[in-house]
Amino acid sequence: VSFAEQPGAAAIGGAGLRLPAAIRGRPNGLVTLALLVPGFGAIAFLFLLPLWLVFQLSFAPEGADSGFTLDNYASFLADGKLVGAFFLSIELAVLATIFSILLSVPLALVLRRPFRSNRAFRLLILLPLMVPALVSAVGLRLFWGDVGWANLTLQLLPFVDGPIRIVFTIPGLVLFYVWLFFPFTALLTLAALEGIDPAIEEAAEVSGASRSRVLRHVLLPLAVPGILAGSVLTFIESFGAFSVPLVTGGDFRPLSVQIYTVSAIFLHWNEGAAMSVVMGLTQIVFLVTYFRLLNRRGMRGT
Amino acid sequence: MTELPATYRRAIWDGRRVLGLTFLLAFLLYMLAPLLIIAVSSVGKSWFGPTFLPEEWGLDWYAWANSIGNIPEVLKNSLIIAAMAVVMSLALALPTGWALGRRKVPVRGLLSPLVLLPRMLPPIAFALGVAKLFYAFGLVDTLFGVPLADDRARLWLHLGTVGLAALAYASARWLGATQAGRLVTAIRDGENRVRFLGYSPAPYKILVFAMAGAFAGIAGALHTLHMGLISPAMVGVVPSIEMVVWVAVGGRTSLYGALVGTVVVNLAKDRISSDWPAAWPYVMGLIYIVVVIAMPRGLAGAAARLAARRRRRERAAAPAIRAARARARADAEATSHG
Repeated sequence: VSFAEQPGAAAIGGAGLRLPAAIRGRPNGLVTLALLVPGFGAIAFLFLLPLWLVFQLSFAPEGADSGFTLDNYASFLADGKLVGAFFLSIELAVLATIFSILLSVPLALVLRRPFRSNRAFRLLILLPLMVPALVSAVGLRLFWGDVGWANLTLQLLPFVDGPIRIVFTIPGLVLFYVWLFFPFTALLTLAALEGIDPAIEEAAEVSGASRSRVLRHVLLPLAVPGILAGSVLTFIESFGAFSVPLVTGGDFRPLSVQIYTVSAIFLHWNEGAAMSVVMGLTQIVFLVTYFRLLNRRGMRGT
Repeated sequence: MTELPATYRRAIWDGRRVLGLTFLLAFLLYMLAPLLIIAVSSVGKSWFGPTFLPEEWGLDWYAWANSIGNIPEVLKNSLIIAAMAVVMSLALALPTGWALGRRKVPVRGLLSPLVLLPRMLPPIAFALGVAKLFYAFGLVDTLFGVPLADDRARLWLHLGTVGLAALAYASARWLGATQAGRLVTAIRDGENRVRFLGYSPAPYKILVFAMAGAFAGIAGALHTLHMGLISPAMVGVVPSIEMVVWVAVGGRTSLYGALVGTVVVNLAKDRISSDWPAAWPYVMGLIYIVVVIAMPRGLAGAAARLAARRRRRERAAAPAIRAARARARADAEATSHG
């Protein structure tokens, strides 16, 4: 141990306030605790507590903060429009997830190969994550609208006359959801495909497998965990999507928009809370099922 | 797979390339066009008709937007909010990530998923709760200068006080465990000896006094909130002596002793001054004298002495207990073999 490394050496040299070296002690449970407290404090106050408040609110009588009644759930379930919104949310999320996978897999297969402007296309995937959702919603609505570029181009076709309604329909919403939320699926699919050892693919090709067989029996099965993990994120985002259906949904209001309408516009906070609880629980059920599926696939792979 | 003639192979390869290019082009349009159309329509004058491009161009919309709202101001606010969010997220995420990734955390399996949980639920599902919470905090915000009327705000204040006390205790405890802390203890016990050993006491004393000052400052701020108002009497000698008494009763050489002493003395003060308001200073003086004579190290010292005595007794009895255990084990083995 040299002189300079000895505790307090700095102080002997009269260097004054060079404390940090001396303060650095052995690992300490209390330090760990102190490091964890801010982060988890924030989670507790900004996430868990609000969650609890919503839960409490959903069982409270109309207009009250606490109490116990099932009226809010009853009036939610009795309203056909709201139950419809619930199923619409699920339908949109499922369709958006499926179409995101259908877009992401070929995209990842193309981007896997090196070519010029490959990087540019990779950046393009990130575009929906970089642009605020509200801005994209306006752009999507303009582009796919009755006099938007998409419709004008379609009308150039001989058998199309008059604008095709896209914006305020379910296929239109799915189109927008895919635009917004496919990056999660695409990024993880790409990562999974690129993580596959090229030797495996080569081995399949050397053994005489055609390209389609390599794809079907080697690449896709190995990429499934990545595709599933990415599509979980796409599903979560689609299920919770708010600003896009608000701007482009028209009469199709998924649960998120209905919660907003019921609680912020009609001021039925308790009913809104009940709907929130149902939405959260549905999401958890979906996630648990999804992760079960993911684990089973993973185990079969090994 | 049968071998195809080279021409066909090239044709298939070209076909695949065209397919790939078409796909990429479609993807490019799908991704970019919705954003491009915003840019185009922002520089077009009244473009509502079925044409591909605006018939007239101009910056009228930008002028209009500038006339209804102060655009630089709005942009500045957005940037400030974003910067603050980034800084706060970093401040929260760095320690958490460091602790979860690099240190031993007993319930890591439970805590790590908790970090991701907010991403897993739809934001709207707990948005109502956040709104409720912010209304509650709106009440808390009014507490500077206004008497506390709302019970919930009081609860927050109490929880916050306990949390800060725990934080102060943890940081003092942490300091005590470091080398610097040992030096501080050494300086307390014999400053000259420390100096002769070659250490300069000044930086360590500055550190400790700065920390103590910070604690006192926080405590003073909280005290104001608890009391609702502060009178000149608080600057007098009695409050200062009171703090010394808390520590003396709790135990001068122990950190938790200070906390215990504070709670005990203030409970006593609450009981006594509600029954005999004038008697409190005398009782306090009496407590101080009794503690100094009977328990120089305060409650914590007394507790430590009790614990030490019990440990000594146990250690004295240990050989006998061990022998008894061994005998019992031997008996059990004998019966199981027999």
